[in-house]
Amino acid sequence: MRQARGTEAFWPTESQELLLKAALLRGPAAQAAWRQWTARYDFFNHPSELGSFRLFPLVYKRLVADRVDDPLRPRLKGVYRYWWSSNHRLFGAAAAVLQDLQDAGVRTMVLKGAALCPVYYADVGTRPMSDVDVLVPVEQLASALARLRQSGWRTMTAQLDDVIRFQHSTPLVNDTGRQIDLHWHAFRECLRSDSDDELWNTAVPVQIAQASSLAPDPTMALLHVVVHGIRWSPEPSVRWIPDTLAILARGASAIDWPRLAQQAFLRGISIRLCAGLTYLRDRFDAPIPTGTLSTLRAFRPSIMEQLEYRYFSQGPAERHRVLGRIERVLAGEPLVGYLRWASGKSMPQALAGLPAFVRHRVRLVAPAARRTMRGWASRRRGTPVPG
Amino acid sequence: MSLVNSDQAYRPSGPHIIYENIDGELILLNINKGFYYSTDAVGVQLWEMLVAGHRVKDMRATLCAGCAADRDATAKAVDKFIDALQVEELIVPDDGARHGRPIAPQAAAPELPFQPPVLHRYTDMEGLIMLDPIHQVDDAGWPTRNADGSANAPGSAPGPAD
Repeated sequence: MRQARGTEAFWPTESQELLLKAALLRGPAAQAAWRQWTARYDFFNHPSELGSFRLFPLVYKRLVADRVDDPLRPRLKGVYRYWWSSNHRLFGAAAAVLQDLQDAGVRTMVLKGAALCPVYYADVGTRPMSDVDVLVPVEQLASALARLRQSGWRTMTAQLDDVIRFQHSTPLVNDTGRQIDLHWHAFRECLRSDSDDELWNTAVPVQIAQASSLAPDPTMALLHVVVHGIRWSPEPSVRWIPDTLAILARGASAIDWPRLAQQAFLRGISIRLCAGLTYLRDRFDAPIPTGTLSTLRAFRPSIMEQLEYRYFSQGPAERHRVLGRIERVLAGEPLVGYLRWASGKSMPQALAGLPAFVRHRVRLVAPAARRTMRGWASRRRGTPVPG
Repeated sequence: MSLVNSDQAYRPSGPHIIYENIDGELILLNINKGFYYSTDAVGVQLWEMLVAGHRVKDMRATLCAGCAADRDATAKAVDKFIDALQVEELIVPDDGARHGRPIAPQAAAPELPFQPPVLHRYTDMEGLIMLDPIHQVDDAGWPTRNADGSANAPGSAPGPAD
């Protein structure tokens, strides 16, 4: 019997895992998973699940490759066509942004789907994307923002200084409603000025429509994808599984496993990397070296990393159940975020930044808090909640 | 009247024309205009010959050799399809020296009933992308809207009259 996964909320649901097998295994194993999924779940009335929806293009390609005639195949083909078209539109828009930044002398790197699609999937329709993530060097962020503003892009926050200080990215929109995610750090956990040096130093060229850019090399791409996926998210993060398998299918020999582990230790993200790699090996026979897993398991992570893992492992129901227990509340996102930001800083520097950090967090939660307060007040008065 | 010159070769009109053969169906995007197109098996065959640099007369000959149809009718269908691609600005004449390799005669191919190729055009990409591709489409899948949607039928690309 294979090792069971843990109970963390970020693991795929049963439905998602069947779809993953239908998409990522081959031949009879894939077909059996697809039959089980269609027997248990209703394609048209699946209470879902963006996660499942985003796996359908891969399922379609597997049915085609295995020459399986299925009544849902035309529908799945339609979902594939949808993502193929949507992704090409995104790439077209992203190419203009990348060219704009290059013209301003700003280096760019694409992350997540925009990097994985052309480099590892080699099939634009199989990797759904909702936007394009563009990383610029933190020292060129001001130039990048100035250029993008000239081109009609605007940030969605008034307190950009705090956002830049305490976050790793922010969405930008233009007048046509298009959106990109502008990153000045690749990892939300790593906000030091030198955090991305390794990423830039080892990046590989990539072509996005008519624009040239960079993408993380296979080792850093693997680290980024796994760590991004191993946390609970309202949008199911199941995509990290086909993403990592795509990286390994095309570049397993290019993975520098000792460097991967070292980067995870340096960044304080080894628990999540270990959990993700173990899952991939146990459930999908991914070629993860045993030595790498042993190295990761032998490492003693910091208390901050343990707290963070605990917090990101919980879904909203679990977080709600434990509300009131001091220990769990303290392991909440604000504390985790602050500890992450303060890591590597001197005590005076960390304390000096605390008021600004609190102000930033209050601004982040203020709209939701106001809505909640209005809801309570309206219920007390018996009047409808304004929209 | 057809605008097609039988000695002419064509090519996609630029990098903004993106295409893929998906399981025997060709889909094309004009990224600049935001238009989506699709065509079926014969259209796929013609497109593949076109991007390989073949001249129109070679395309006509290939189709005539592989199908049980009147040669004139087949040639007209080829011309009409090429015309439609030109009208939609999906292709432009290729005046370079590039011409496709000679097409092997398809002597062994069974004679199939000839289905004139049709170029389906969808001009509202913004609207199509807003569709729910599971619940707001018909049995053929996205981008054909179901009865709840409006403008559910794809438009045939306008071609010159026969």
